[in-house]
Amino acid sequence: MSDSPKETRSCDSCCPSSCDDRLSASPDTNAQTRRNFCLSALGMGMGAAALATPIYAGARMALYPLSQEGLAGKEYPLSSIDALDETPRQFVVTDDVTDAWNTSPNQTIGVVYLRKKQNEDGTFGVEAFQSICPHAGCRVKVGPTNNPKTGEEEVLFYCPCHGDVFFLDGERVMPENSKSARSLDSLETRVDEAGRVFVKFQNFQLGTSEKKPV
Amino acid sequence: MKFVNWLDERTGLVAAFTKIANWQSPAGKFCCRFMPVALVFLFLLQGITGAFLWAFYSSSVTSAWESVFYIQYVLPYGWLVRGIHHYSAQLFVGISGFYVLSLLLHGAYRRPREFVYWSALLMCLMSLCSCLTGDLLSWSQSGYFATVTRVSFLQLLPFIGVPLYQIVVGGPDPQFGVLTISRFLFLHVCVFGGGGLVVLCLWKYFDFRSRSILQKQTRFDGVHKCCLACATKERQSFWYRDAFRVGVTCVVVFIAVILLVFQHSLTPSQIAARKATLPAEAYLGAELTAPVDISSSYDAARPEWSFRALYHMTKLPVFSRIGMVYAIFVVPPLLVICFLAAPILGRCKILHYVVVFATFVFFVVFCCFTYLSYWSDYSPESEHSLEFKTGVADAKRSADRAVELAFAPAGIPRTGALTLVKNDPFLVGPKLFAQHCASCHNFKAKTPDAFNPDYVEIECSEPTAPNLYGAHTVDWIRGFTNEATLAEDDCFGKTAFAEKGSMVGFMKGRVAGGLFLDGGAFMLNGNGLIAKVIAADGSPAFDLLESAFEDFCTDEENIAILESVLNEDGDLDDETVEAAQIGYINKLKELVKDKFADDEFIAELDPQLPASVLTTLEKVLLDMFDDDVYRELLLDEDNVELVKDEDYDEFLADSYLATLNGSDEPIPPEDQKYINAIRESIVAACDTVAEVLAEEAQLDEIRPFVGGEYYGLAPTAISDMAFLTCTECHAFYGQENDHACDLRGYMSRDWIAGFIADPTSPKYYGSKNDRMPSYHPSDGDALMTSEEVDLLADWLSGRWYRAPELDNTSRVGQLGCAKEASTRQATELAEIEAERNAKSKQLSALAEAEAQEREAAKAEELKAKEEKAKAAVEAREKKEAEEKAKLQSEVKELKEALQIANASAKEAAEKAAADATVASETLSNVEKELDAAHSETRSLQKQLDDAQSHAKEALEEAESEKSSVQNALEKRLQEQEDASKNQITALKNQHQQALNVQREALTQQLADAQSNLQKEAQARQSAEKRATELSGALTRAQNEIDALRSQIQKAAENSPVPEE
Repeated sequence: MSDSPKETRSCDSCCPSSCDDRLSASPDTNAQTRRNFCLSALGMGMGAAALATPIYAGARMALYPLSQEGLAGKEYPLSSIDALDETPRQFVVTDDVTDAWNTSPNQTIGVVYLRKKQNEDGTFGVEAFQSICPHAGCRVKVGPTNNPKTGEEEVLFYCPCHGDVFFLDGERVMPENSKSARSLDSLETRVDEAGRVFVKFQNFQLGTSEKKPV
Repeated sequence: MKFVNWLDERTGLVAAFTKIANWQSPAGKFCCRFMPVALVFLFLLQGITGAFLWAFYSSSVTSAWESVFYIQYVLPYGWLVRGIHHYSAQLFVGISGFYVLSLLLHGAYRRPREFVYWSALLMCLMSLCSCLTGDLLSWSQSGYFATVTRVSFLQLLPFIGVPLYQIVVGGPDPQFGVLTISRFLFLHVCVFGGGGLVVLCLWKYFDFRSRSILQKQTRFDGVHKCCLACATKERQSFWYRDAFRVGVTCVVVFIAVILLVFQHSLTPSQIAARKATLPAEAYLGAELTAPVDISSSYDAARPEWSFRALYHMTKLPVFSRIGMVYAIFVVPPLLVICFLAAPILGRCKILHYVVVFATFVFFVVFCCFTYLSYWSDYSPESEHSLEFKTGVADAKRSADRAVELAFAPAGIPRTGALTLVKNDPFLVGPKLFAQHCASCHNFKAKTPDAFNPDYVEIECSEPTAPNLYGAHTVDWIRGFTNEATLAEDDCFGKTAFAEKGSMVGFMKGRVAGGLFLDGGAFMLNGNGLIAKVIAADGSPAFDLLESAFEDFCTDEENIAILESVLNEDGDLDDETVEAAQIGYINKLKELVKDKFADDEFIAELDPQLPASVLTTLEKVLLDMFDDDVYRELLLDEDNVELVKDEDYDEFLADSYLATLNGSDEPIPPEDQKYINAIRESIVAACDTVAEVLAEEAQLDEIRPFVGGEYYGLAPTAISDMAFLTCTECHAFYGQENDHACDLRGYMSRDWIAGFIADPTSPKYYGSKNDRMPSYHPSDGDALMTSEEVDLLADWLSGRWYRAPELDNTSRVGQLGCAKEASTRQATELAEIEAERNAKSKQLSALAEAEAQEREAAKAEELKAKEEKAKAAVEAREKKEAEEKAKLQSEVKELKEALQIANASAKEAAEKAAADATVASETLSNVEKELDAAHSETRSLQKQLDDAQSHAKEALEEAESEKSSVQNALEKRLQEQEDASKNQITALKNQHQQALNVQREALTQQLADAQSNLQKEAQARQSAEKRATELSGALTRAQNEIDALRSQIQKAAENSPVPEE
């Protein structure tokens, strides 16, 4: 079976010319021919619509993930500000994960680094970083490593896959030679009155110089 | 144009397009081409929907049902895709079957259309197989059990049966598993789906080929005119009329499919009958029963409609005689062979009519068998219909529940929905009950609620234990707090407790005029109640009567009589016992008479009590003692044991009841009023207690003791219990007791679980337990696992997940509403949880605060105590200081006095010393004088040698006298000195003692000192006296000396002076 527009065109082109010639023997008038043609178009359209219905429904099924809200952008309480240090510490973000029909409680959905940082006014805030390297998605580590700029060993973020090194504030140590197109992805944080640290957990597109949430 | 030429050259698309546009179809009637068009359309529908379903399907034991659930309920339009797939397949089977039949009837199977017919027949068989294999894929109860039956038939085959079965199942064991599912998926999609496509194409191909042959043919024996028309040379453009016909055919078929998809949601009444807790998708498209649970039976397993005839045939008695294998593996293949052989058989006209006739017979038999199969399942006259209907209802219940659970906030775990279903009290509870409890217990509502989807009825053929329907509800508990219902079959009617249980006796007592008979203080308790009701404000009458009776019972003399009445040792003869009994009862009667004759007692009892009530009361009591039944009961040896334990209640209740019923005299109307009042108050109290217990049944755990009260317990609950004397046997808050079951958390989940586990525990029936087995005792063999006990208890106490009601108005076609509702419920649950947390926090805070308060109070008390103690200490110290000061001043005074005394003593001593010195001085003077006298004497001696002989005696005398005097004097002096010295040191010691010790000592010392002083003075006086005496003696001695001198002078004058 063919689609209706095709079929319309086909009738446009063929029926009046060729069919009429063959059917010259029949007593049908032009009006009858037109009527029959319209009926044919209608019939084909109906049949096509009938077939299109399951196709539409199936397409809606397939497109279902687009209408779903994921876990991205949800805020998670991770630690308390008193427990943090200026050296980043690793925290695992867990949530109840729904995998299609299965619901599993307390599954790891990501790993973040948290560190205490002194603000300009002397108070302390919290910085959070995605542990995924923005270059190729490896897990960034923190620890004593060679600072390529000074050649000295100091505590930095480093990526074990392709050797990118980041300062503890997330900036690349060598922006010009770095494989990563951007600094470590910082995450939004919030500290409540009780000193609990909340992190808005997100994943970001890899490889771009701009931080775009996935 | 260039592009079109290029494309056409390489693909032939334009040519094909032109060919379609110029398509010529037979000019005849369309009717016999309706079915082929419909089949192609349905096949396309199945292909499209099947492909989409395949994209979401997961073929494993723990995810097959779940993925189908996901498709049906979660994915948008998933139900539509699944529904179209399912029902288009059914229609395909039906239409292909009819098509084959029509080919046979129309003779269209005959030369040259043999292959058209054979391919159509193959297509029909493959669609049937596709249905058979598709059933299992959803891994739901219906499909699973139907498939298991079918596949198990394979084992009937000789030799190859079992290996074939193992190949199909995919393992050596008979259980279906992952491999079975993937095998069936492969068969369904590849073999019968893909193979079906091939056969469909072949069929079309053969059809076209047959037409070209027909066009050349001249003889058309028996071929229907429609087919002839198809085969005629007369042609017209497809687009002339047939396009429209094809379109209409597709739409008609599609509408049929859609109607089947919506068959459960077509009429408003159907929509209204939907369960509010289920999403609309549950009533749209193909049915999805509960996930496979091999352990549960599935009585509603039936094949699809297309196999119903075969199913009915297998049940024919002839096959049970000759063997099922003929019904499954001989008759159908033979039929297929017959069908296949039709073109060969029907070569001549007569044989064609035989084929037509055989086809007709087959069709009629098929329809009859199908009808009979449905009839035996659905007709009320059929013997198996009830079983089937129950099975269907059960399956529906499980299916609905599985969906509810899958939408519950916890979701489906990785272990699959079966875990949910298996751990659901709502589903498992009734099964466990039927298995373990229904041999004695009923589970049956008095008025069954057909509209309550949660209602299950489990009937016991001969119930001998309480009906447990709604065991956690106030209505059920009321059955046990009402004397009329307690002894009914739904409660204790058929148990041992009806005959000898305290509870039944107790409640009978309540009937007998509200007398609660209680062990020792039997009828007096009842009288107390009468007084209590009348006095309304809680008169002390109860205590009065009870204490009077208790006094009586504890009287040693009465105890002795009672002992002989009971004749425990059996060493007394009947006469003695009878005498003792009469004595005892007479004493009791006397007590009653005394009490009722005592105005003071009556006044204390209740001054408002009318005299008629008093006399009735007295008469009732006295009659009771006089009653033979009562006496006999009391005398009966069998009852002696009863008397000794708490079953006495029942025994007394019975006796009293007999008394009342045996009494000829009617109760005077004015007393009846009081008795009615008592009854009303007791009924009301019983009702309140039932409500209190119903609240207990809802508890998660028994109430904690917080803030000086049992958390959440109605303030009057304990007093109501005490009023009805419940707590004399039962334990309740603040009242330990193990005579009867514990009422804390009565009929709550934990209570029931503990009861099922071990009813013989002292918390429940203890040794009085009647037949109820211990299903999971802490020691010994368990009849149920603890999980099963918990599930059963959950179900009996009405604890299972209750799905939220969905928005009824917008449910039609609203997708994902269950999910929304479940999230809503999850938030609600979270809120409740938070509330509960807050409450528990509050509770713990309360408890903490209380503890703190208590501590603070304690601390304060301690502080106060400390302060008090401090003050007391201070006061004491002050007092002590005062006393000290006083003492000190006294001591000072004493000291001063002492000093004075000392001084005076010193003075006295000094005086004495001075006196002594004076005396000694005088002595020395005397001595000097004596010396002088001596020397004078010696000189005189020399001179007076002559006179010496005369004077010698006088002189010697004088000298001895003198020495004695001297000795005495010296002695005295020495003595005096010593005494004064001793006294001084003694005084000094005493003074120091006085300082350290007591005032009295000091005063004594003072007195001593004074007396000493007096002595001293005396001594002094005596010394002075002595001194005067001495001086007297001295003067006398002087005088003597003078006399001697004068004698000497005389003697000198007389003696001749030596002449020179």
